[in-house]
Amino acid sequence: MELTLVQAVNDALREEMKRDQRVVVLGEDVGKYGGVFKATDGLQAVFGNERVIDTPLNEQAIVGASIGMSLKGLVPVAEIQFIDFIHPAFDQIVSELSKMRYRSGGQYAPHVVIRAPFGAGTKGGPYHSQSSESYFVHTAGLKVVIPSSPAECKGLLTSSIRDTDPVIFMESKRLYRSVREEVPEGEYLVPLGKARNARPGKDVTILTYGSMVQVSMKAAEVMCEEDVDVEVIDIRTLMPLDIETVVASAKKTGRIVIVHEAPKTMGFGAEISALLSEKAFDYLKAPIIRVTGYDTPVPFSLEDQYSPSPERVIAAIRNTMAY
Amino acid sequence: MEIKFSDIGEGVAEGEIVRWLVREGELVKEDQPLVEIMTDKVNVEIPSPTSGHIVKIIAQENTRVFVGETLVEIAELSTRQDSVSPKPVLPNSEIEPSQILASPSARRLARDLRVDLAKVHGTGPGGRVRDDDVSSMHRLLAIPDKMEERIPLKGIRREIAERMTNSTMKTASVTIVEEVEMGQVLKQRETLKESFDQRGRKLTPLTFIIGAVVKALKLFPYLNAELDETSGDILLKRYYNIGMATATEKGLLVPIIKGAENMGPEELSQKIEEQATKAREGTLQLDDVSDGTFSVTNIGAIGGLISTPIINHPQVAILAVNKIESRPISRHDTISIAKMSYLSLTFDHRVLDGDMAARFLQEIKRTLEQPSLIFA
Amino acid sequence: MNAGSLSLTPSKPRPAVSSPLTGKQLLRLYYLMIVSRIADERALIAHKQGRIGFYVPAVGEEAAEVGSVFALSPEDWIFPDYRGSGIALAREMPLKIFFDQVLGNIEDVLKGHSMPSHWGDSSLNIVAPSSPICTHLSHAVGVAWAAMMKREKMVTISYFGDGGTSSGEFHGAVNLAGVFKIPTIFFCRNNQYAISVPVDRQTAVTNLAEKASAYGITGVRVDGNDVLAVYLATKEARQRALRGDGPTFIEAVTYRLGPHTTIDDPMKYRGKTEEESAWKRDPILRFSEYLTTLGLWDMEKDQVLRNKIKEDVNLAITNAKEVPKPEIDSLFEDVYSTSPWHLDEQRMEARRFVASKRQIQ
Ligand SMILES: Cc1ncc(C[n+]2csc(CCOP(=O)(O)OP(=O)(O)O)c2C)c(N)n1
Ligand SMILES: [Mg+2]
Repeated sequence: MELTLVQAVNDALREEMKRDQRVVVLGEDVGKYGGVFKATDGLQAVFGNERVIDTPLNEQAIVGASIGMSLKGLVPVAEIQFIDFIHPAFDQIVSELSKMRYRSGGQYAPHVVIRAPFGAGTKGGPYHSQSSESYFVHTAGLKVVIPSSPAECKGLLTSSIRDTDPVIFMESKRLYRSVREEVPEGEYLVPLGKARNARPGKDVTILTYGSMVQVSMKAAEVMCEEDVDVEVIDIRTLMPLDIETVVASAKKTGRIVIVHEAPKTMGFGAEISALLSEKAFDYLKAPIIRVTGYDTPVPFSLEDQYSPSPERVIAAIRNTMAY
Repeated sequence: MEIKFSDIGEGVAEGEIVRWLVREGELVKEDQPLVEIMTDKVNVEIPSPTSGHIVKIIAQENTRVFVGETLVEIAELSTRQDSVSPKPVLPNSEIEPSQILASPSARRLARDLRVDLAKVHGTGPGGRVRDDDVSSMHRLLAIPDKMEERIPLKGIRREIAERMTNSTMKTASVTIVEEVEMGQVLKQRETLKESFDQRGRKLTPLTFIIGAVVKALKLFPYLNAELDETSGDILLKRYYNIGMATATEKGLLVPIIKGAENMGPEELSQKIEEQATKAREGTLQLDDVSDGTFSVTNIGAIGGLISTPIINHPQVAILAVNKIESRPISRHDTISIAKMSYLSLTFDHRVLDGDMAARFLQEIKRTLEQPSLIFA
Repeated sequence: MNAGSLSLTPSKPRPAVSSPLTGKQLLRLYYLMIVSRIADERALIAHKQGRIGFYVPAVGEEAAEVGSVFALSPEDWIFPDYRGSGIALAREMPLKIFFDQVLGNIEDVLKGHSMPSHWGDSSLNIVAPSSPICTHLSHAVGVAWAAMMKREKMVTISYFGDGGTSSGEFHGAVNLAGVFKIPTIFFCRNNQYAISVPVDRQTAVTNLAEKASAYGITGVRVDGNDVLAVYLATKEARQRALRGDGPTFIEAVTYRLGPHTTIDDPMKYRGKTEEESAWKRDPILRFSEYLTTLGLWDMEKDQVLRNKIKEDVNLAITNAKEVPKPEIDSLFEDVYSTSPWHLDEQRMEARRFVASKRQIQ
């Protein structure tokens, strides 16, 4: 069955709600309207308004109530309409969702998934295009998952719903409708904590995730013509990171380019770069290069210039090869 | 805790540190191999008896250690009072001028290949040393560019040097040479070859030679013996562990075919192949090289008309098989052409005399010329 | 709107006949209030002696805490905030567990992970609180919501202060609960201060209970120093919730007689005279007078009880102090359901430093 990424989200939710009575969906406009991106389209008609809940416009209450529901045995999948609007719920996520298991000595462990679209590419400007993954990766107790394609999305979302730890599941808006792909029907799982080698190569490793996997693949194809064999690793789960795959690839190629849309400073690339200098230093043939969004708010008019493009990735590959 | 070089059996008293497998500061697990030590021509990896941090490596690479000497100090994990804080894991402390422009990877390569980074010409931007530069420097170093080159005597080379000197000093060696016609052996091999081939086995003349040697040793026990220098006794051995000198990249190794007297041609040839492979691949265990009673060296495969092999002390004799080639010989007063080879036997005159050695050699010759007798 | 439907700071105790509780229950209530008071007082002293690190007393708010908990069923879930000594003890949390938490020792049910005075215990249905103000209100809403979906007969209650009513969290949670008629109780201890800031700086309304009307839910203002009034208001709110008539906002008007926490000096923001007059309205004094009027209590009994509890509390503190600190590994537990590689690595590193015991002089 060929699906877009947003349909894959819908499919995963539908499957899990069918399989597991505990799963409920809540958020703004998720019910009758089916979500502003139509990710929850048709779910309320099937599962009723007790399990697909239109909430008041209050992100902290959405996340807080989800935490409470999960303590009483439900598995809430909360939708935050845009990652840009998750910040009102920041305290609920950073102080509550992530730390409740810890502070209660394991007695109260919220089992919640928060889904949110993120990223540039749809001309959203400063408040509809951000990539906020670093905040959450930085917060102990959260898992952070970002799929790169429809099939990946279904498998990873299903695993996220079944994982008993809180998961921040970020969906690239750019990918919502731009790609169609064969997605397995019925139950389909992709394990969390495992990166995917999207394109094996031997000269340079690109470490990336989300919609930047596509951008990196394009760059890799072009580099073929220059006889540079590029490996592309789709990180998939930022926390916990599949360090083995990342380090193995770094040791193999010795040249690393990290690509993400989020701003450069303190972005996820900074963490990978530090980890590789700890764990693969002796194998590096060149400095690790980051190709990222700039350290500015996401601009409206020049959004395309803000996001890493294949051209920028190619330039980085050439630099590292020439080092 | 101090980890000592303990008695690993087989009378091993000393060894040489080939390579440390851990670094100072590193956290090691119980049973993790710490160091590779070469003893008596085998390499053993010494496993850690405990989990902990490597505090200090005492025995350096390429030095000798005797049983009982300390190899390394480990701060055990479980003993909390051992208040040794972990040292940071630093790369090998061999001086590596940091002002040289080189990628971490090139530096590692230089360390591994023991190439002095300062001497490497960097071809990267700004003269930066890249992996390739180190590799080509390493290749260059392999070709002597001076009139003389000093190679440290170490590892197996040094072991061989010491053993050979020891043997020549301690034994009263005499070499006698006999001529043998190998035509029958080669023919016999041809006959058996097909069935061996079918099973993917190799059959070499060495199988027949070792077979003939064992048969002869049974008749002449003084050649399968040892002189116990402390008691002054001659020890005759009723087991036949035949060493086969094998050339390897690292030097000559002598794996042993144990209990050769109990083997048919098939088993013997298989064992020969096995031991030769192990020697070449460096996987010989202590047991594979100890307790030899007699040695055979087959240098003829490469060339050389006659040789005077050195006894593998404390054994008392060694047989060298020299080149097999077609030569004119006199047979029944006519000249004919035959596949001929010289057999050189070096024996320890302290234990036996020339007449016995000559008769022993005659016996081998007789058997090799009638190879059907060998495994009869 | 039900604000003021119950007693508004009655100056005289209710007559005995109107007591909703048996004599035994009344004495139990009194006992719990005394335990709470003495635990707080001894903890404040122990803090000055350097025996405990930090503490949040609820001195003066015992009637509000004990009275409300007393109206609940064991299956109801309690979401306290940090000022919860009376809540935990009214739920019959043993003094040992209570002080093991304060000391964060190896026997603390929260494994020493949480700050002192943040009591929680799943076996008592007390959800371990965090520190940020009012974040737990929406959790109480969520739990009650789930229970409602599962047709379980239970309510949840969340405790917070007057200052908390200004927070966005308060608004988000109460609003949500109102929309879905969630069986939950928002219990506000209006103790007149948010640290140093008086309640008239929190809001322009004079009765906090009025806020309920903005969310279309029942609001109740009750004398928080009258344990029976609190009991009744809470009981009624509970029944309302179970009937399907939605949440209740209870404002219990009381006074924080002690410091905000062990690191606060109230003299910096309020006068002695104010405190002295507040002590005259001490809920414990008032309840003991009431019990005495009923002939259930006397000074002698009171002294015996107080001495006994004081001993128990001192012993619990001393014992908790004897119990060792948690093992280093526990630092890394409960971050995730299973430990990821990076925490394993960090745990090994921490163990190494603990093992080496080397410290810079
Ligand atoms: C979001 C947040 N801001 C600030 C604080 C610091 N703080 C702790 S208690 C407190 C006052 C709370 O007053 P109130 O809600 O009346 O409760 P009380 O302490 O009087 O019981 C403040 C400001 C906090 N814990 N959380
Ligand atoms: Mg207050």
